[in-house]
Amino acid sequence: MKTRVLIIGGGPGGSAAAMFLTKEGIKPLIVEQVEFPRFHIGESMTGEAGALLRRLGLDDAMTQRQYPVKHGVRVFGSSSWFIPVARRDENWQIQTASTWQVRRSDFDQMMLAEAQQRGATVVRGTALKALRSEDGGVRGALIRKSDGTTEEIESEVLLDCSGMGTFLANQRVTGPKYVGSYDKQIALFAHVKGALRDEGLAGETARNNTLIFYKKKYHWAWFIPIDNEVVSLGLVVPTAEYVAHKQSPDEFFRSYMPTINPELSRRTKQLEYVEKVHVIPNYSFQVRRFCGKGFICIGDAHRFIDPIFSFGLSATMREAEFAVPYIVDYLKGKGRDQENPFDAYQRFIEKGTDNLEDMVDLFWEQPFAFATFVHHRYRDQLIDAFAGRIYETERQPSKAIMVFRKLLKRERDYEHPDDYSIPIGSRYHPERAALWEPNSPVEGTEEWLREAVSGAPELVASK
Amino acid sequence: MEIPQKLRDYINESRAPLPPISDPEEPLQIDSLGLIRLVSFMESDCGIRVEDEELVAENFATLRSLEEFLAKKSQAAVTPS
Repeated sequence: MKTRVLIIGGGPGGSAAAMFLTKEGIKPLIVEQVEFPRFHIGESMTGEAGALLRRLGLDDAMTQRQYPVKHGVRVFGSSSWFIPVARRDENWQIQTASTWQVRRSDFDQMMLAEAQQRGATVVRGTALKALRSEDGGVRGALIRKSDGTTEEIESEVLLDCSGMGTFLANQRVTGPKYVGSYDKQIALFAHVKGALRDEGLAGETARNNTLIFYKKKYHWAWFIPIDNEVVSLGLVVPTAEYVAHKQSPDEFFRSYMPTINPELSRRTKQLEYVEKVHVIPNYSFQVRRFCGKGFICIGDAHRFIDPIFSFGLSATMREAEFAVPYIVDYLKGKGRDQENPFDAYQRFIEKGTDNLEDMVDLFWEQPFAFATFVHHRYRDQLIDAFAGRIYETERQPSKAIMVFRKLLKRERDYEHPDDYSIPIGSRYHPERAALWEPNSPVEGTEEWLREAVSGAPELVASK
Repeated sequence: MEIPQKLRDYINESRAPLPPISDPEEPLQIDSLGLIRLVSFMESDCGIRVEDEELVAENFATLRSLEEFLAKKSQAAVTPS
């Protein structure tokens, strides 16, 4: 089989890419391995993610499905603050806006169906192997279809939207996959009924805002309403602390959650769990050279920093949108003789995501400075960052980001082709190897955890 | 630089209903929002510019640490209001 653009993964990154491609008259083929709906985490959107859905003409669909409307992010901890969702108008003035929270099983299904309806082909199957051309580029993928047969699908561009599965990085098509700054953290999460929300209609106390609670460095929880009744609750702590408790994910989640913050405890007294407690340990990573001849990695397929501030869904869909003009040019023949025809795109995305990383790092390293910046010094710039305006085309890095770097004693150098964005990962644990091995035990999440909790602490220490 | 009297008064007001501070080593016990206001007050009413990199909670932990912080800044950063 042949297609111009092959998309591995039918999550929101793959579906958004497909929809933006069909606008350009390109009908891609999407390979998705599981039947939707399926559970997925990453339920909150930034303002720019909401704006992107509106550009795709999905405003009515979102409203019809009654996804909770998010007006901002409220943070409770030693420093408490609120950041509203806001957009920039044509004069770059800040205007109030809103975005959505979604139940991913439902949202992802809607997105994939919409992509299909607009002209994308969806094939159920698993990508087994990247097909390489003689010059080292990617010319497609070997797929095992749901009926058990395998088939080579030839493509001019392969978009890796496989999420944390990092299909191309595991195939070593990309540069190395490094552990990220927050790779020693574990995220546990569930869906619950009975959590107490605020009651307002807009602003700081709006009913469907994202709430973040933190106890101390690297110990925090999220609270994200995903429909009228259900709230997504997440707990993030150092993996070593989870392992030391020797509890099941469920036991740990229920007993630890109330200790994060009194305000969270007050809101979660009477809970009914409507989804089991899921776990993702050691989630932070970064893949270098994530674009090349015939391929682009989108979203989690090349980088995941940290779930705090809910940037994942926003980043993956925006990267998909930004990639499309580059893909269109490439299909027309532009840059085919270059070693990396998507180099400019890669750097653009890398710089934007680095801005995010600086923000997350400063939040943990200097919470008082961060809170002061939110309250007055750099409020507008932080409103931009929380809205997902992190890219060069959005006047970034802002003065605030430059100040973050100064406080973090960090410089970002993008001057040389191979040393843009040196991964900052592991700087808290310099003794550890920076590389994330494709076949390390971390990959088998549930199995790895069982072993870790049942008394094989070396898995945690050495990875 | 000594801590200006109006700054001492402001700190004591901020910690109410706690009694005024007598021991320079005693924690100020002002919450983070209060500290953010304290920084604003220092800038607007005392003419003390607090640089971004000086926004470290430890600088505002006790009267002693605040005094040391002001001493360190004494020449360049301090301008009369």
